[in-house]
Amino acid sequence: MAIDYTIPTQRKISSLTEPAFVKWILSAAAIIFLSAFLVLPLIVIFSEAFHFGINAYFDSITNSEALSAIKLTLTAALFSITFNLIFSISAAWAITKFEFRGKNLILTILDLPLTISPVISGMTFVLLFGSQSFWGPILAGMGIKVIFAVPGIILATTFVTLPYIVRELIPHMKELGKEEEEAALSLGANGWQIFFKVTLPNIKWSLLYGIILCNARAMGEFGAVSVVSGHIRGYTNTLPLHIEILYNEYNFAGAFAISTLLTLLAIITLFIKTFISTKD
Amino acid sequence: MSIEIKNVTKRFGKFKALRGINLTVVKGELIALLGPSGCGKTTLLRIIAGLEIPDSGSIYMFDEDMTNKSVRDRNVGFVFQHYGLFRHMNVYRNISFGLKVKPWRLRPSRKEIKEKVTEKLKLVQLDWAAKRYPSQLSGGERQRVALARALAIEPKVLLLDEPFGALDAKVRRELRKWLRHLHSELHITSVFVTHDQQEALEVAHRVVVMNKGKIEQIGTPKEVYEEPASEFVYDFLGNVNTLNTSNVASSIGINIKDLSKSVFVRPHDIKITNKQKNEYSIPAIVENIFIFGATVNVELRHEESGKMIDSEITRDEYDILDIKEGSQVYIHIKNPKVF
Repeated sequence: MAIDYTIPTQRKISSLTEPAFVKWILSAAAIIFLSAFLVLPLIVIFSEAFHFGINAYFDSITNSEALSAIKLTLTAALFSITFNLIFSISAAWAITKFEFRGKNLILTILDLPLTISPVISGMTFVLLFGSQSFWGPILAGMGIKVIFAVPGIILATTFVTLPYIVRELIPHMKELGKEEEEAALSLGANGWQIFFKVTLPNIKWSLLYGIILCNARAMGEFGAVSVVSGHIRGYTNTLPLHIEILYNEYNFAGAFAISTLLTLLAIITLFIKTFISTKD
Repeated sequence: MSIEIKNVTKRFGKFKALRGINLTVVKGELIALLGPSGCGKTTLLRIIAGLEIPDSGSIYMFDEDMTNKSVRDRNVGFVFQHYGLFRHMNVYRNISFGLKVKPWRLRPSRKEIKEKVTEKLKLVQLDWAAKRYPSQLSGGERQRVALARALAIEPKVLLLDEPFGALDAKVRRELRKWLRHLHSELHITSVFVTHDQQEALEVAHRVVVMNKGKIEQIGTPKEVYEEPASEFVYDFLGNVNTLNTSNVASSIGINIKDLSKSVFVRPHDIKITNKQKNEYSIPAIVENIFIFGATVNVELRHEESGKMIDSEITRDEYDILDIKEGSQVYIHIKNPKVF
């Protein structure tokens, strides 16, 4: 008797694969949703920005008020990233390398800026440093103005962006453990050498990832900054506040022109994020 | 004396990790800290290294008080259980790390560093791997890199924390042999931590058996195996049968007054015969037989008490005996220990 050596063709297990029309509906729903909520607004932003032509666009983003808003936004982002970098590395180091009481409490407090409404964060700074507060008049006596001035904006921005870097670092540093640092110590390295030669190279990508997220939030922050800024044109206006003012004055093309800057920032952030994710 | 540990205690919260440890390590000696997990052996090693600070007591190295000195100033080589290699550095840079972080006055020249690293790479037989990263090496190779890195700073003392703990059985045995050879070449005072009794007995000159934060016994492998100081040491160093004194006292020919004590016998000290040889023969029934190459493990049931007894006999003895499960046999106890 002849033996059939052919392997029977594998049948698809119907319970594990969806019918074609279900796949199609699900994909279509996702695409329509993404277009309506992400792509369409992007198109609107750019088309509105160029509504009165390219010259009007460049005028909107290069006039003195816009430039001062850009400058202030960059200043606030730079300061808050610097403060957060120092704070986050120290906090993550302490939390992952040492045992001490109150560790969980600190971890919970670190999330506070994420759970609290930015407007309330802003208001706490007004209460802390405003003219009705305890510190406000003392600092004013020394010639330092915090609320309705640049220091207040930097404070508010730093506060709302506080968790971004540290939350990237803690899980990564926990996973790394402390064996490499102890090894470096036993080989005679001092604290700075251990940090720069062992710890930093190991955490550099998650650090950069945190900085990128922190920067995006710092530049885009509206609520907290809005409360402490006082909206003084050319002095305490950041990019998001400037957009609001222009919009409220029915200068839509101007508002959208400035919006393109923040949109580009978001797109660049996304690209860098994706790049870092592949590295890490 | 290389290392002197005097009355060291350490607690973590409520847990007493070390309760008064006294230990002296002779120069050039290879010593093993052996005990079950949680006995304090790793804590003791880390205290010697300076990675932990004792609550009380003191550490001397070469007659110098090191108790309050930091790890950096102790000049010890430490090998970690999970290697602790710098993952972003290649093998060469890992090994040269200790030389490169020295203050510039003490730092060897670039050429000297290169010579030293090459020498250490040859020593651990990894001269082909200088450019490799730790992730590209096997567990055994990584551990050798870790050893080379620790030796590169020319430490006075080498400390190894479960050096072969994360490796598979075959690699462990090879590295064990290799470590003993290496030590006989270098003669560096070494302390290693292990929970594997065979490893300790095979590699070390002296074994320190620890339990619950205390030293149970210090001695040569032969001493701790043959003359265990306590029930714990006897039990920890090998397989053991625990028998009630009342059941076997008459059969082992020793007069024991205190019947609350137990008799301990190693499985290889239980001999099996088909016939009753003398008044010390104990009747038993063969329950199970397991054959592992040259040795045969026989599980027997003590007829009088129903207690299970393990015996380990050679393949030759087994073939001559011609026993099977259910056979009626007699057992003879050699070298019993009473605690």
